[in-house]
Amino acid sequence: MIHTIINGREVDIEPYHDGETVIEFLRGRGGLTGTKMACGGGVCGACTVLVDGRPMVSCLLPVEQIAGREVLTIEFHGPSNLHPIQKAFMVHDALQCGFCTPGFINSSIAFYDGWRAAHGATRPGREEIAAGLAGNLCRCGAYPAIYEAVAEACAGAFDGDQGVDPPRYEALDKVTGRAKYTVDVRHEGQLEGVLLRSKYPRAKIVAIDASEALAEEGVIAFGELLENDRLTRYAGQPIGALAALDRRTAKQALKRVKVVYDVYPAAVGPERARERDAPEVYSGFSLFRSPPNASEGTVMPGRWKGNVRRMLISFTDKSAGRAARSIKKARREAPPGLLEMTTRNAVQVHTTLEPHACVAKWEGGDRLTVHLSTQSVAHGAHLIAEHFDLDDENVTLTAEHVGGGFGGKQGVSDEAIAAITLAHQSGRPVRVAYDRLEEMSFAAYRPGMEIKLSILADRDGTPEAYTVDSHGDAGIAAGTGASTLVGLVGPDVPRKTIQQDIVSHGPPGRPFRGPDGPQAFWALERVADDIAERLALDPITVRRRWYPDDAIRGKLLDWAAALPAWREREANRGDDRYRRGVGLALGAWPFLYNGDSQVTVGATVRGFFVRVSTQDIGTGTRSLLAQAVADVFGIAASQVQVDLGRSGGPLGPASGGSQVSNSVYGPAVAAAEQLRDGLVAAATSKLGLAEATVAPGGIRHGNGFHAWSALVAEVGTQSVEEKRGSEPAYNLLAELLLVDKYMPSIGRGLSKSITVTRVEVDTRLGRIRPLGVWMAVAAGKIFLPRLARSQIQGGIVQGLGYALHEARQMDLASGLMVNANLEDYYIPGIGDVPPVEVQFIEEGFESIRGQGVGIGELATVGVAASVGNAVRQATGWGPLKTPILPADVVREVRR
Amino acid sequence: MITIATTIEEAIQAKGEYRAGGTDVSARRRLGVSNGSLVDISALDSFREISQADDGPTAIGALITLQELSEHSLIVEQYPGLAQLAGRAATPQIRHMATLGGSLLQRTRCAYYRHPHFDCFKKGGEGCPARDGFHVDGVLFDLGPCIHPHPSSTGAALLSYEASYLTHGREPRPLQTLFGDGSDPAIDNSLAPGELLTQVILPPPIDGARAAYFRATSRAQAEWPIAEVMVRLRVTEGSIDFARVAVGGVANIPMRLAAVESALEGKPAIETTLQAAAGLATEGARPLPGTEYKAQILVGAVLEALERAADT
Repeated sequence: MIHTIINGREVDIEPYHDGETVIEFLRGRGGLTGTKMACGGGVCGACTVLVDGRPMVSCLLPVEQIAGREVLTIEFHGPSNLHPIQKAFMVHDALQCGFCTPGFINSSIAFYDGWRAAHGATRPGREEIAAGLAGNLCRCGAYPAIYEAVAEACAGAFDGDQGVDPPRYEALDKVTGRAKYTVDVRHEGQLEGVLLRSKYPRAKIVAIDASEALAEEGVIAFGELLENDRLTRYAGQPIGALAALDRRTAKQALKRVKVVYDVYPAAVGPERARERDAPEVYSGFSLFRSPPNASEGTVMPGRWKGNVRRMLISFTDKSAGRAARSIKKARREAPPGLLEMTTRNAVQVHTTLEPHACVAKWEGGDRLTVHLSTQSVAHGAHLIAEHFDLDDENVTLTAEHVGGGFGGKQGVSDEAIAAITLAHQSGRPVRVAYDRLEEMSFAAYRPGMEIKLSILADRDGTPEAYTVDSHGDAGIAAGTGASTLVGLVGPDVPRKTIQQDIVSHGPPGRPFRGPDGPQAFWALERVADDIAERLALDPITVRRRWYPDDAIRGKLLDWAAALPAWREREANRGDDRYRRGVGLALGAWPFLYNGDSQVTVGATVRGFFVRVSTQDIGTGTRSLLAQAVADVFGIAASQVQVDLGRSGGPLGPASGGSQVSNSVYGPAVAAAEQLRDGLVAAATSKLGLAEATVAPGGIRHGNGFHAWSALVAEVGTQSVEEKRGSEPAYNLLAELLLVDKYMPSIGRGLSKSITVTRVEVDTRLGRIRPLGVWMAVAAGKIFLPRLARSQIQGGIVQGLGYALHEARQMDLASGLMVNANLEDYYIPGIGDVPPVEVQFIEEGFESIRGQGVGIGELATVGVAASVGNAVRQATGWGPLKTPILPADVVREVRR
Repeated sequence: MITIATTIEEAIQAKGEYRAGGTDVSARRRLGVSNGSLVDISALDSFREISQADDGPTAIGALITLQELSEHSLIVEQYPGLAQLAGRAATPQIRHMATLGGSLLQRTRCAYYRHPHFDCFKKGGEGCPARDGFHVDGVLFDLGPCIHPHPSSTGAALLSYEASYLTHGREPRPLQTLFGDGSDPAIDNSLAPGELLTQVILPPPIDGARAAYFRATSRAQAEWPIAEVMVRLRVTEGSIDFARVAVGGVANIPMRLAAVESALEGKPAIETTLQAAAGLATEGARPLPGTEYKAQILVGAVLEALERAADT
């Protein structure tokens, strides 16, 4: 028996098993789910607790070692007892999805205590903060705000008893550990499910015998999860699922399941898959091959040649034949304005800190309650109903808080099917939550890419034509669209876009924030700088000629040209060892929205509510809806009750493609206005009020003031539902792509951005250090500038990771990801993030409803290219691939 | 089963893997790479001390945490390189948990080893999947069948201090014998089963010697090194009369670089000396197909540490 003190209470712990760690106790018997399990290896710090005031990772801390010690978890500082660090995180919006937040808060408290003891109420520098928080990772990239929050708290800005008014609606829940994520859901009698995965990339499952496993104590159910053809197409593909009383028992039992495989040779990796003699991932007649979808849209019909799939029709071509002929002719004549480049981008793994997770519970034979860490509650519920042959209204899907999505948690994936199946078999609630290895190996990644871009410009840089041919690497999935995107956002001149996928025996790629964007802009914007150099032109001049009639891109370029960092870039070249350079890149993203979205705004005596079946994955949707309603009624956003994160309400958009803000903001405002006008009219007539006008918090009239609640008490509960409605389509083909009400439409116009990045390249050691990032964004009206800023900062951080660090390493023999952990797969830490500046240019969407569009994708698509161009200016070596690693620098840069 | 040892005798008699701070043991058990009985030694307070004998050597208990090492006044003043390293290794949270002993004896951080699917020499199997697979983080000096760098940053640092180690009931032995010559791929250290590391002993500090630790990484912090270097130098009247250079991250054992050391001693403490000596850091290197880039980074890291120690 271990005697310890947790959050001031004496606790006796009887260890469940040898080697039990503190997090297992806290989250299990302790009921303290504010402590989060993310990497499980002591790297990410999401599980950080304070032990006798010292920060420790509870995922590695043995329970025996807290005997006689005092443990503080995030729950210690509740809403009435907030630590200055918590207030600072709230006020500075130093959090997004919130999953890393409890750990960050505890590490920051330890840093704050140490800092205050040594330096009093003074402001620490960035380097000191970075060193203190080196053991915490935030995948959303809230680091710029975390620097600010910690510095301000240390300086004493939050020492008093003052209340705080955070820009993020649910900030208090996230800084106190009260926010509930799918992994935190626990029903009475709940089982833990684990997946049985194929050992081989390509095999036929001849037989599975789970009888020995089922005979183990504590093992409750096993179910097969096989394709109709019983084939596996990647190592790790789920072939079964097993439920037990706890995860350890389930994992142990999994080893006792006997699988008989017929193993076939596989084509792991695109190089092998492309070879003439490579085994085919899919066989049979072209039209009947249906690989999983790596995109957020519809997979267009394709033509197969071996494992290479080419999209049949391109809707971004323009005079394609002419473009191809121009390029071909130019190859013979080799004018200086012909530039051809082949770029390669490694696979980037989403690795959301909350893993893919599902808790399923059947209520009777045909009603299903599902908690799922998802970006699409509405669509997800529908797909689950379809998959399990249920009526839509009998499936309730909930995602109250989602610990990161970034595109990788859409639709219904294996963890949901497994949990629902096991729950059905066992008759008990079942949770399936991936461990980090599964999350990184199998759950979601941004496809690798190879792009051949040939562009012909005249002597002043004006483009005449281009061809672009991309090969996506999304394992068994298809539907990448880098060439399509280049055609959509690149110069509007004759062009031929060839869109291809190489399927191979690897796990399926999925959309990742700005799908195909970082790759497409890497190619486009790296080429633009090479053209500038070839023709001895300024990089900004070249881009003006690429987009001559584009007033908004013109303004973005003006903004960049005026930045001191850009103006002085030739003067600040560093020295022979530390080379400095500044690069820029344009970015753009199509305008996506869901015209079928509906929002309900209502008034009860308890206050106003807003309801829509969408979700907040850390992007600020709750805050947006609350603010939209609050502004109409002249009340505080915190007074509006926001009902989202579950299916069954008015249809809401998926949190993908930057479609949410535009899909819900307009209807929320309109519904609120109708409700307000209705209330005023009803009150005027019923109460006989004269000269009633809306005032903050209620209506003013001849006889004084009525608060909204008093009015509602008189006229009764009311609500108004408003639909987003549609806009003119991007083009006819885009309209045809709209297959159902859950999918976004492509409207007209692009949101646009420019990123300017300054780097320092250490030629001795190969390290590239970003020194500053500046981004301007033109996405029309910005609804919530403070949260938009946070999201852009996060996009920048993810883009820096893409440019400089992140690469999945596949073992070609086994077909498995080797660096499937956060120790060997490098996502940016706080010390990797330089000062960031964000500027909004609120133009471009004046004619659409809401007048503003989302910015999530736009914030990341051009970042890597700006880093590449900065490295190029710094060193004279133009990188063609991402990530740009120290190994590349020492190999390529001449000293 | 688990034994919570309250005396050395209990620890020695109990069967199972020793666990000190638990950072490595817990991670391996969670991954399913390690299992079996445990002997928790974290309560053996006698190994939680740092003491200096009258004639100068310093004994550091194996259970001293990295954080304690980085802050202890004796270490900070007399063995500053060690304190520097201990304050930079791993992450703040890990430094509060991980012990000196565990840091020396942790198992390899090779991603193949820690991936439950793969078998390898260190898991009792035959062969090394990294050799023909992914190994850009592998060794530059291919000394034996296992090609992942030894993980112990403290190992490299202590080699430069010419430390020895003590196990229960044995005479002190030079630290390099703890790691062996890298030829046996099954082991990360040469301790016999059940042998308990109790102390590390540092010779008296050299008057006037300066130390510098440098770690080359791709990100700013919290990353296993591409190469790491501990340098100790003494410059007397403009010339280097004492040099110790040890490196990690480049071989399956921490190593002293004798060629670099001898190219420094007796030479003037000027940049050209340091550059010439650093250039010898790769003497004897046998890179893998994926690790050739480490040669320049090792030379650069050695030079960086030399410059810092020499303060040129």
